[in-house]
Amino acid sequence: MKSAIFWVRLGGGFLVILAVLAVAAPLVSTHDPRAINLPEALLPPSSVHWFGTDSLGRDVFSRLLFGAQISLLIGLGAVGLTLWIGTVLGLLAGWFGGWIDAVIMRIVDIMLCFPSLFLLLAIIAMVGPSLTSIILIIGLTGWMTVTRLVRAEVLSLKEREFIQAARVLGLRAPQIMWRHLLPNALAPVLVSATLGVGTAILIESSLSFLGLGVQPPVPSWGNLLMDAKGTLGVAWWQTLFPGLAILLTVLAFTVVGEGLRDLSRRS
Amino acid sequence: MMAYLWRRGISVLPLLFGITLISFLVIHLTPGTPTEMLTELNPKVSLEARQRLNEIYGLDQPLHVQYGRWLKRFVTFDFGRSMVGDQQPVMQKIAERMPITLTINVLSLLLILLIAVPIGVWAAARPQGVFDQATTILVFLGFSMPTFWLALLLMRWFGVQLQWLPVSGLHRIGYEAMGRGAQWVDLGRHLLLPVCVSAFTSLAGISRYMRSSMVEVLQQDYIRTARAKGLAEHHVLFRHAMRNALLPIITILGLSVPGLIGGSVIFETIFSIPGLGRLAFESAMARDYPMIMGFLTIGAIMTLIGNLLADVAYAYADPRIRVESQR
Repeated sequence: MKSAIFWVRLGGGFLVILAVLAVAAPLVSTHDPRAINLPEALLPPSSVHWFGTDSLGRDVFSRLLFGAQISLLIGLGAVGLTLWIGTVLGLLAGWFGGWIDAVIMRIVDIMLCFPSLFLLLAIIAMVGPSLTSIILIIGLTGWMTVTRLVRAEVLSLKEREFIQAARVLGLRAPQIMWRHLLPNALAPVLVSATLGVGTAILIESSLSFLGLGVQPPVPSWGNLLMDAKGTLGVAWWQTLFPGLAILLTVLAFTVVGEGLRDLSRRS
Repeated sequence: MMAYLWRRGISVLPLLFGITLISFLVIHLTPGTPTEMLTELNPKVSLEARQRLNEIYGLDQPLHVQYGRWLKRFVTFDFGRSMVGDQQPVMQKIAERMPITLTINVLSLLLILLIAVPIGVWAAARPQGVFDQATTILVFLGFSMPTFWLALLLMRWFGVQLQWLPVSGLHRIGYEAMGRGAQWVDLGRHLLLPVCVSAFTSLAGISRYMRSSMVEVLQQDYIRTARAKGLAEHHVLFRHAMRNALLPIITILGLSVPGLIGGSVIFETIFSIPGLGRLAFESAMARDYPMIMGFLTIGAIMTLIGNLLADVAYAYADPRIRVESQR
């Protein structure tokens, strides 16, 4: 088994390339991702259409590239929100303890009782699916693990000498939390955030696949697979490439996250 | 044991209360009232149905009064009637769909245990060995696999190309005319793919936990004693180590319940299985508010029951838990 650094570099390299391709999608893509071209419907992969075309004659490769924008945007946006909520609540619960801790941790327990897809379906049915609402909803339903992590870190850091010293010196709670606790609690949080981006991308694609994600004709990876369901026996390229894109991207985030965890444990 | 059960049962009550509160808030704090949304998005809903919704939720009342009313109905499992289609009571519809979802989830839990436990044991027996590394790769794939894509691929191979297995529904045409045995075989063939798909994701995680639990147990003194006695290695692994390593897995299985229930939305939709997950999906698509409230609350309560069962099983398997609760 190669070292953790090797895997972090491999996964990280893949993600960097993906991010560059996503940002440069308008330049790199060979076709307009939304251009319907019925005479060229359901063509297998060729030198013109690298990943073939779908039932409306749209180029699958170009749609994948633009889909990467959506997936990465939602993954990063949702995890950003998760981190923000989770860290603030975790800091408060760990530092103040007492009833604040009790209330926050009970909310965590209760939120964890809801099967996440049920909760997502219910809220999306209320609010309606759009890029922003999907980011908000995945973020608002996924912060609980971060809270637990941060709280556990704060509890162990609280007893350490440098935090005691900061208290004795008369620093205020917000200062201690922001300047001293947060930077030291960050390592495990970043690991879980990396894994979280992968999870968020999986959730987004599942929602899109169910028709409750980003709405067509926006080419998200889940939407591509939803289209592929109709041509399952005919056009293998329509199922294979978007699925592989999701699998490899989530795999890259997982490998990087696990690798970082290994590295942070050793140091 | 009874004392432990009692204490554990009581501790669930505040969670139950919290579940009802959050379900309520999800409906009421999101923009727009249900009745407004229904008129906008669902022209089929009649004035009468809207009035009934108003009646159920008392939408003209202040929030805490509304919640009180809702809680009162909840205690008797009265979620009102569905707003679309046959307009049956929500609880009745959920009860109809529950058995098949539970069956699939229990079967996939069994499958997970049957596969993940031996994988974990063998991987831990030789850490960094060939088997351990191969399963590590498998675990990472499991974590990253979009379930619905796996379902599509399996449907394509086994259903469309090889024509070995049916790809939708629970029964074939002419099911009623078949004999008992043939009916079971038919149901089994229909359930095979859904169960495998629903087991796949948790399989990865649980074999991982089993491995690390085994690695820990194998470092204990009593394992060294067992080996020193000259017991065969498989005896040490599967008798002495595995039984102890299984303990934390009970809790993990309990924790995987919400994932399994939520996952049923995906595979039941893909394989057209008329279970709770598909009901949830259909009601969300139709914006059927009473149904949405119903499946949200029931889903959370099922998780609660799953966790409770796991705790009880743990206390049953590990006497220390029981004894400590009596002190």
